Amino acid sequence: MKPALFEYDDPATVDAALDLLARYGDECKVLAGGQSLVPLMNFRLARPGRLIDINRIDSLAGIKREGRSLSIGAMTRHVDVERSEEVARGWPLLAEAIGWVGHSQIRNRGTVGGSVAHADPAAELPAAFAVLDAKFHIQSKRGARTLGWDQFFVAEFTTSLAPDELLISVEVPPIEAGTGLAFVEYARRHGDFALGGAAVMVNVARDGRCEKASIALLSAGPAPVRARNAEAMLAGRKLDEAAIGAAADEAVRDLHPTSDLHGSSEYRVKLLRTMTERGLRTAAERAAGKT
Amino acid sequence: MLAEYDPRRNSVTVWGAAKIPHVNKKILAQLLGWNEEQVRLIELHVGGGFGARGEFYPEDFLIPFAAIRTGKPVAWVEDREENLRATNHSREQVHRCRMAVKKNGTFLALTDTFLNNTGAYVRTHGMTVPGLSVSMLPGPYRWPAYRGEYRSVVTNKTPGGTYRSPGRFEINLVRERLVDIAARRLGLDPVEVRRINLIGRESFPHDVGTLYDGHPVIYDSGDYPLLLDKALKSFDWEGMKRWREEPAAGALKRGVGIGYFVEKAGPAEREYARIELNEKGDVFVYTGSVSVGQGVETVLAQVCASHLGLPYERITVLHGDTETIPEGMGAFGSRATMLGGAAVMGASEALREQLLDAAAEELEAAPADLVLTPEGVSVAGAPSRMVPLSTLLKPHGGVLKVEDRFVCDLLGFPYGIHFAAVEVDPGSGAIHVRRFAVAYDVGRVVNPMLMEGQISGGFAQGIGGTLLEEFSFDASGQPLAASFMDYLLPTSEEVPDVEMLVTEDAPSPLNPLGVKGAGEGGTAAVGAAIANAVSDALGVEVTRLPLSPQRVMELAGA
Repeated sequence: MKPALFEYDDPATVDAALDLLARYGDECKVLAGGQSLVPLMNFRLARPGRLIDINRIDSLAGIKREGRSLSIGAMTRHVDVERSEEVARGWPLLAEAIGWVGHSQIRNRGTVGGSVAHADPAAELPAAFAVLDAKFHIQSKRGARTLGWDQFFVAEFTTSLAPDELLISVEVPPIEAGTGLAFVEYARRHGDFALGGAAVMVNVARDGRCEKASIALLSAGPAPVRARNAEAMLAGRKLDEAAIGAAADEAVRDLHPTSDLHGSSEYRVKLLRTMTERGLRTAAERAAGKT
Repeated sequence: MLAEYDPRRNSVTVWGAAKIPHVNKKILAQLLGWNEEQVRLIELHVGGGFGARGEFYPEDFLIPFAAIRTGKPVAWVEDREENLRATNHSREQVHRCRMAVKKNGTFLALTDTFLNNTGAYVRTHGMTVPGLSVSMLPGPYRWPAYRGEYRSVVTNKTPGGTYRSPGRFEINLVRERLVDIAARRLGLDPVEVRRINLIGRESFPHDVGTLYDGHPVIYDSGDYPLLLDKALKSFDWEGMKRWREEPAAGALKRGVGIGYFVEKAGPAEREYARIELNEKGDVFVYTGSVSVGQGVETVLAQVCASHLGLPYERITVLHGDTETIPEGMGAFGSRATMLGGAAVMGASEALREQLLDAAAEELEAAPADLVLTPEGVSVAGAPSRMVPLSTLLKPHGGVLKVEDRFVCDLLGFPYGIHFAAVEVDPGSGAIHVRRFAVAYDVGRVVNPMLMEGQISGGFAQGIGGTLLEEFSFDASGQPLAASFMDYLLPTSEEVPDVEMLVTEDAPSPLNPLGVKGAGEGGTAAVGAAIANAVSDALGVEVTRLPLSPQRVMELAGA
């Protein structure tokens, strides 16, 4: 339960970090909150030759409004998002999702950028960002680029980040009036990896019909899964039990989550159906409360 | 664990023993071909025993052996993956059982045939578990006929051993489920079916007719119907049944269930105690029992204080060093207070008597009229007529030592009932334990707080075995639950508060304290009670633990 040998740098600026990444590339791993990487290193499932610790780079942390959007720095701790008034006012889904992340000790150290870059399919924030259509701002010595969530997440523990690139911030678009949001998941114990979960956003018109629904599932595939067909089915419909049930059926139709000792693929599909149904129901109730 | 060889004395010292230092010293000496005097084991503090810790494991030989061969201190450091892979596993049994029962619910016969997985080879406690299962399956009921049979099979898994309430956690599930199934098929109330079949108060001592490890299973004392009545009232069983009928939120389904069980405590037949009193009035209790975090030091000091008659604060309990304590059996099977306590009581009384007899002569008073304090012995009502301890202890070189060995061949049998009220979520397979209550009669309670600690800790371990803990293997025999991320221990979030009713209606006739061990009754029927409650909620018959969400969803037919 001890890591293999590694070199260690702790640059104080983004530029210095990018220099190191340019020089060492895929030899190194970026250390943010360390809540996933350090256990993996202790189990020796990860053996990076070098750690670039970005905890000293203050400019990477913080939550701020940019226009109508929300910008979250990569080094922002989970706890700071969970307790942010800005988030509570405009993007409460993020705080709700973070409530399911590990335990408070983990949320005190774990970072938004770390969770996103680690790309665990059971993680809460990638699914939340998927349903909110977030964008990821990335830099390297070669320049800056911005990726949508669907371009960013590639597979289990795999993103589009090149070895010399650093995730700088996440941009979350504004939530329109008349929107209901919900994040639900189930784990065997409080704080364990989710066996299945759903992040849901619905826009409801004044006449009670759904204008737009977004559903993102976690622990459902190699990356966050948007249930596009189910979303389309709900557009223009009243969010009654029949519509929600049919959408939940559709959302899990072609899913093949991985089996493990905590639950078979078949179990997980059924659980995801339950989670989708409950997420939609709660989001619809919340939207109705707002309109 | 750390072992160090001393070439000058040709001896080896091993730090890190737990549970049974003297037993392991004997085994180690035998394996080394040495005299027992050449081997010293020293117990270290542990946070708990849990049933699997402290047996003689392979490393208990290998590390001292390496230290002797190299002449250098050798330490054993085990990480969690190694620990989970190699520590004794337990509870893998498959039962085929039948009962015959009259239409009115009267039990006629019980038969059971089971397989017990003992793993790749038989370790020290490999046969303990099935032996306890087969001898204790009958539980608290009258059975005109019982036949139990088992095969212990060798597999390519980790060797088996004991895990808190070994053999009983399993058979309490088997028997209490069978009783509920019978009640349901006959359309009878499951609690009433239990009541009419309970062994009556007049039948004690009650010979079950089975043997465990050569000891006849004779229930020493009990009033099973009385505990049932008290528990039903105290836990408001009628209220629990009403709660069951009220509508639950969303898709949740409610169920209630109980599990009645008989536990066993002791023996390992004997225990050693030595009490030493010095001129300053300090008392040292040397015991052959050991601490596995259960608070045995507190209990033995209490026993000594009340039977010697000196203040608790002046008493120090020493344990777990095979050099300063000549013999001992340790702490397992809920035995330390029963046997260790009785030995301490015997030595305390003998020391007091010796002291007062000597003082009576000095003071020319009857021993019954004397008062013992840390300063000396005085005549009641006339404190100036005192003989100091220094005078009394002079003939003994300043320290009076008294030994006692308490011997008891029979087992004690505490008994109890677990009550569970659950909500089951068919959509996720989750089980929410909304209420859990334990009624337990242990004869006599020495320390109520430690008693509650045993029940609540035992209950947490029971929740683990019922809902979470499982050593899974893949098809090629690789262990899958190799970290605490996958071997799921319950945390405070998963363990609800447990209500308790501790009674003292049936003191044990087997020891002068009247106590029965209390270590395992919090665990014994958690699986049985929750499985009965889940079966009640879903209208199905649970026959397997743990109740993982996938299994629950399958049972719910969702």
